[in-house]
Amino acid sequence: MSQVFGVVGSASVDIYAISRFFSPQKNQNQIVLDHGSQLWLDDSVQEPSGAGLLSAMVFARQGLETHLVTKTGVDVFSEIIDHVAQKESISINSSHQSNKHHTDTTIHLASDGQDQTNLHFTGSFSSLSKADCRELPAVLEWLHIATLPADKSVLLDLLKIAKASHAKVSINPRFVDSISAKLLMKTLKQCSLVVISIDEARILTGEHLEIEDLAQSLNLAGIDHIAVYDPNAGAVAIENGKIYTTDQTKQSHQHDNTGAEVVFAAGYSCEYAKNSDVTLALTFGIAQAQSVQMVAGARSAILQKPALEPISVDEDFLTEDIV
Amino acid sequence: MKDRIDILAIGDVVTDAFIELLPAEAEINEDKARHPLLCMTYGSKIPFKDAIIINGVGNAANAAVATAALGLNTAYMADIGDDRVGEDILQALHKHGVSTEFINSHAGYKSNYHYVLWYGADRTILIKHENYSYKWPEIRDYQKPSWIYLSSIGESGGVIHTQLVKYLEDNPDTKLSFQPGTFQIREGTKKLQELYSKTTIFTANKEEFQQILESESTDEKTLITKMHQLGPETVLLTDGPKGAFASDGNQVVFMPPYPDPKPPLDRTGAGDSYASTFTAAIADGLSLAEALSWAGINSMSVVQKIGAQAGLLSKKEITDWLKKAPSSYVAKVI
Repeated sequence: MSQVFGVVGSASVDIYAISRFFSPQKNQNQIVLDHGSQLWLDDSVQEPSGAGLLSAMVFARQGLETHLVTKTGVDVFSEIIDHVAQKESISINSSHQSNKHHTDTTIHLASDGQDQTNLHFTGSFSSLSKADCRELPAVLEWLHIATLPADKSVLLDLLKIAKASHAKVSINPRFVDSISAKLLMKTLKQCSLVVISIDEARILTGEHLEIEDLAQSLNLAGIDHIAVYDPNAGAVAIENGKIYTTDQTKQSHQHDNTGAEVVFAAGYSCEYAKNSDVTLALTFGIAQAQSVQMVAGARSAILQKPALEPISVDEDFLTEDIV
Repeated sequence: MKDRIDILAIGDVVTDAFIELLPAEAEINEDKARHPLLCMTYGSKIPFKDAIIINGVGNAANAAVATAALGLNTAYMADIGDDRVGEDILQALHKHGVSTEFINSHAGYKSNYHYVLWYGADRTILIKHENYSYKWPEIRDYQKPSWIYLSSIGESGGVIHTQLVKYLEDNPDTKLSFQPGTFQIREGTKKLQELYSKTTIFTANKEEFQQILESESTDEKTLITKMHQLGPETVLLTDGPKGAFASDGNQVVFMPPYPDPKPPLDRTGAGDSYASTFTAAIADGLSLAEALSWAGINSMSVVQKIGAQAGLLSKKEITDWLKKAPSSYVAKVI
């Protein structure tokens, strides 16, 4: 029987709306639009996204049997997501469509070479229920939680489901301030692996520490296997008392950090799930993250299995220390 | 469509995604001319409440649905992509009783999709249209429309204007009602001279009149007279909540707005419903004053609902509203 990998997280559509009108007004930090008017865009692109969908793609593109549990609306955007999932050989819970909400959407109001103003809707994934999670396969090798469910009892239920099927759990906590720190820490301690960004780790710990100190702080708090990622610098992982660090490779030209944290977490978890090797997991996670940083929009840059093979690791790129 | 077409609407069809902004996440300021400006913090992440999708809209589509609701045999000519959005558009139009026989589906193209930033009762519409290669359809003799209703069409829609002028020359008993969209307004009157000369009913709002005529005049009568000189027999000038003026070249009639039963929810489609209802009433043989009274009621009803079509009324519903109209809702010759 083949191993099944489960991913729980949001699936959404990013809309990139490009216009000079989305630049800030002179000496202001606002975009100002003529209300009641029609504004012709220079370009408009729809791109499937969402932490759950992108993470599932990281697993699926490694040839792993991947099942995504998510929640969308009953609309064109949901159909786009279904189409991508089918193309990537990702199976989705049959209950994912609900007519209570529109599919989660982010509209990026962008002008060339500028920051974006993002309008976002997350009501769809927020309605994820325990019943949706029960559609995870009964036999599960690994469960990756890419987006924290809004309903905390759903999160706890996911851990129960994983335990019942003897699956290991990785989690990428984001928007950590949306959940009580006590409950979140209790949950994280029950996971096999926690992958978190430097910004979220600082919020969670309440301390403005450097990356290695954050990893150690969370490790001391009871998270046995922790990886902290900084999109501008690299990552630090601690497992069984050993500290592993990586830097970003020097040739990387960062274009857009969108999705880098999500694919690092999924890449790290995926590789660790396969090989239980932190060094390989860091290499794979960083490779995935750097790939998506070099293009606008994460989906197209997620690496396929053969693409990783030529990647070599510099001697001073990866270091391993014992705490 | 097996019978003669009462109205053939022509113009781009789109799907509108209404993005409902939260009150705390944006603000309305005014420019020097007291025009509302939607302001949002640059570079921020702004949550929105929900997205409501409305398929098969646009100036001409709204007009087609309005005239179908009024009981006219309505067909619609537009262009869509061969995608799910296009399928949903066709389904929505069928549901409203509009014939889609003249809608072209373009393989490999996307259907037009607008994002409507909805804040308060007003909205800012983000638009990107596909560059379809427009083609005039084959209209059989028995289908020959009594009226053609032309409205907003994309930048590459010039071929339709040329073909339409030819069709009107070949079929002089078909009348044209013209409610120009953005690109048609930008084209100016010289480039579309023949179209204006063949127009029976012309409709635009006051600002559009000024733009089309390159006039700074704020006097409605002056603007209407200038428009008549370009060819239209009947001219309708709408002025938002202030009311509307209609002229047949002999007299100008003013109609105040029908009082809103509740504060307007969304002003999308108010102008479309006014223009198309006015056309339908004239096509039905009503006078300028009667046509204005119909148009004001349908427009009032539309702004009470979300989107341009949900509030459109049948002929009976309009006459019911007319019966209970306040004494102030009466047309005046000026």
